[in-house]
Amino acid sequence: MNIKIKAEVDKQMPKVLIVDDEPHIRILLEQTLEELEDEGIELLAAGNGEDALQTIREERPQLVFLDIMMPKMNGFEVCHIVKNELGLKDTYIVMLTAKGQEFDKQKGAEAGADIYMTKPFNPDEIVQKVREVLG
Amino acid sequence: MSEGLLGKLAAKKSFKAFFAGMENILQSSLCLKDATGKVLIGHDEKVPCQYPVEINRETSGWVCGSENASVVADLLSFWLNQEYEKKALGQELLEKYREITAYFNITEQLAGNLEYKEIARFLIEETQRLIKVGDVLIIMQEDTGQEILASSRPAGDAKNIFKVSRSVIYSVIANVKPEVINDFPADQRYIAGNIRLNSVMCAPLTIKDKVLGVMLVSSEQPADYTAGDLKLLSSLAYVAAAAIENARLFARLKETVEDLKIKTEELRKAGQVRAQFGMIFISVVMMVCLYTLSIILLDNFQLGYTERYVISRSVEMAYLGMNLILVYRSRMPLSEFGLTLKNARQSVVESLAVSAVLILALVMVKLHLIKTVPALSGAAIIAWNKVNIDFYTYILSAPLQEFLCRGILQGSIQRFLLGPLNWLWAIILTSSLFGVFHIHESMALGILAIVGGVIWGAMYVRHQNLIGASINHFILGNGLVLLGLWDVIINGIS
Repeated sequence: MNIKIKAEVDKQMPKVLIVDDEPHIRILLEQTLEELEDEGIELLAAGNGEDALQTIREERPQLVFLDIMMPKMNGFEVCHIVKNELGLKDTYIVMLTAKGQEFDKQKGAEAGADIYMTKPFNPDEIVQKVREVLG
Repeated sequence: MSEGLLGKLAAKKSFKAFFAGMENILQSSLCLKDATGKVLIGHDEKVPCQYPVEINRETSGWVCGSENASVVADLLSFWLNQEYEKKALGQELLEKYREITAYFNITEQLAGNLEYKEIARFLIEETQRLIKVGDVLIIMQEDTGQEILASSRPAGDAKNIFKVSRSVIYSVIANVKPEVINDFPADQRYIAGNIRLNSVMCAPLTIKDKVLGVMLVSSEQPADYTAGDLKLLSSLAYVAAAAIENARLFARLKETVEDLKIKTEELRKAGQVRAQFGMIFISVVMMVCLYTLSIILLDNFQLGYTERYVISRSVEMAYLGMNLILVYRSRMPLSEFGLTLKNARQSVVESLAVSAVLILALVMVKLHLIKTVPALSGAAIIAWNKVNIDFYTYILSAPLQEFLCRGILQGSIQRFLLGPLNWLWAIILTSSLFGVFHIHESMALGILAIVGGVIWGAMYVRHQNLIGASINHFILGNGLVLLGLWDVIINGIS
């Protein structure tokens, strides 16, 4: 009985995936979200687009912070596959990139991204966004 | 920071797989417990040995199992220490990133905002974001003393904080060096007040060698401010000083630009007045010439009343037309020439009162003349036979004369002249000219016109409109005609 309940809790445990090819940005985001980890949110990380897709398929995170410029598969492609091919419309995708041009924002929106945040990001805004999305 | 690291690791699927793998390799069951003895993985069975898992030389948990379970404990200790260092570096990285973000925000804000107090408020918010413990005050050093520019607390609390920490603030301003005091009540500069401060940090706001004020961070709870915090506050204070100085200079520049605009406008108006006066001067000289010429012509040709009437009215109309052009070209509002209803009621009442007094005086004069002058003996007080066309047209010509003399001439002279008595000189000059224009009739009329000019000029200055002067001019002029005194003034008593 207890094992079953634990499994359900695990199943319900909100997951946040951080996708960035730069390790220091991943560490930075993990550190930023550490306080949420203490509150029961599981943090996942991926260093490229392919790994990100695999993690999304297996772990089904509710929220993904997605970098654009990455090796193997860029953020736009990952976003497009998640939202359209995998049909995970409920997965909230935050495009997080150094690019701040209107063209990229438009491209991100076309790929299905829910919001577009630029680097350097404000750590407090990131935490606020996660709280907002995960309730 | 090390607390919970083992728990988080144990919760990961990948770690659970690793742990199970180790059990297979060691051919014995293992149990992982946290520091309190709570089982994280495995079963709390009676096992022969337990080995500590240490993070930063502190026991974070235990690996229980056979003798060779020590290998797993060592491996976990190594792993968690690596994780601990990674976290510490991550924490440091995050702090630095927060600082960079704050500087980025400050720079962005400063680039688009030069409002003095808004900048101060923004800097306080950012400082609070970076130095998490405490309230922030920006205090400016003014000529009259220290002044709180902005604060994270309400004004009353901010004053109390300032009072308690003022000795430290004076010292920072005097020495131009930042200070951190974590046990403030033990400091001899602590001044007891309505608020108890346990820790303070203070950094000067400096631009080159000039101290503009200080940034003060204070905490009612004991705070462990570090040298890094003080360095951060000092660097923020440098940015704040530059931003505040820029905003001040910008505000001063704005004031200067506003002043310049006002001065330019004043200069433009002065130029306009000068040009207007020049034109008025030309028109007056031309009028004098024209008037003199027409008088000579009228005398030489010995014209009758009707011809004289037509010619003199024509001269007046020409003068009027010329002045109307000047008024139009000046682009000044008509109120500047007395054509306004402002103070209308007051001017009517006062003008009628003055008229009544003067008419009464003229009646007394007439009565006196009837009694004392044989030629007028038995004459009626009202001389109806003296009423002619002038009597009726005076209702138009009196206001027109006032418009030309008081509205245009006197007003222009007054605007042109400087000093507190410019109005008086304008009245004297205009009345004199008004007298000159009447002197060809008789010396007495010339003098009387000067007196009338002074009265109407004074009314115009007082009322700032032509209503009172015109009414009085009309009543007095026609009063003289009706009383038969006009003839006496022009021709004398015969």
